[in-house]
Amino acid sequence: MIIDVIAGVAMVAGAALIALGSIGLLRFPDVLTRMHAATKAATVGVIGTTIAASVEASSLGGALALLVVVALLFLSGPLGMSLLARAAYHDPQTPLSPQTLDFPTDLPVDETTSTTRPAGTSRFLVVWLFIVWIAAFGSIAPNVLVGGVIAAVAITAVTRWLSLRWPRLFVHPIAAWRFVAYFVGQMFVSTWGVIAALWVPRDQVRPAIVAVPVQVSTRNEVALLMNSISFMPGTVALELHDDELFVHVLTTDEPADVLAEIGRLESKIMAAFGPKGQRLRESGSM
Amino acid sequence: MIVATSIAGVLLALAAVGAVTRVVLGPSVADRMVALDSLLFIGVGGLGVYIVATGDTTYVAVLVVAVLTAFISTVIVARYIEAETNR
Repeated sequence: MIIDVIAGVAMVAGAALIALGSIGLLRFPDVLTRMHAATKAATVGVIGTTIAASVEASSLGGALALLVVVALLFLSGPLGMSLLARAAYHDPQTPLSPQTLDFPTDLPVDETTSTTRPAGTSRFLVVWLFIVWIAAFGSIAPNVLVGGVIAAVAITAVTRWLSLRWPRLFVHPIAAWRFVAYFVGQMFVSTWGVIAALWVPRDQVRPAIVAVPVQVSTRNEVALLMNSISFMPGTVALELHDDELFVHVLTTDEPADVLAEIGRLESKIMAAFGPKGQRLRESGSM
Repeated sequence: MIVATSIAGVLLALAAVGAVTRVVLGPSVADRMVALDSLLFIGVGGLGVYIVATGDTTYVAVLVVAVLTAFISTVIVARYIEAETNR
């Protein structure tokens, strides 16, 4: 009964967020600002409706599959948006709002620098593929379990054989939970910020591009940082160039505040997923 | 629950009208892509509302495919815009 009420509230709130995102799509001045409203507020909204659906789903498998959908949205949404934002920014035919405050005068077109690292374990991949398999079938019958193990191991073996390199993952569990809690809280705050920006007059919406100096070192951390930034409504990571991350921000009160906020996010990521030496330095400075 | 699902449905329908308007207005490829993406999100949200209303999970697989397709299409359009820029 109570759970029905929670599901109902999550569903209506999610639908309302999607609708508000659509208002932003119509009202905001250029493609980057529209992106903040439409797809990112909408991603949060879709997570609301999907969680409601998984609560109300009649079968366990269905509920699991819906949670996989939420996980996919977390992974793919910000990545796609970040790529599209970068493309749109470099494209001369895409009009940008003349009010965009441009901090770096000219954004260099990047050449992707890739550093190879020693191949890490792929146990996570096997487990993850197995969960996806079960969710896709929506049952835990023995033949599904056996098939899942075979498929997960086979896919992992193939990626090994193709010598895709998986970067080594460092995880500090307590700090990781702290990061997740901070991230979820921050997500609500910044969603609220984008909704608030919907009602200010159009010529007072002040987007900006800021260059954020980054300190994280491993590829995992950089990926996580860019994904987190792009997932937050109100900020989208454009690209990493030398040690600076270019971020498009909506409604900047003060660029310094945005920098401080991203710095906090970064230090949380470093504490949770940084290699040992960095983690010690981090805890030493706190 | 019928009230909640009705409200959510109406909100999503209005959102879809907004998104289609942006697809028509453009003005650039990236704008249309963002609008189409959010149209897909509206569809995913609508399917969620349908599941809440009926408890029927037959179409969940469609949802997984739709989310993945949306990601791939966004990436492809982004690459296309970049290729046009660098030409």
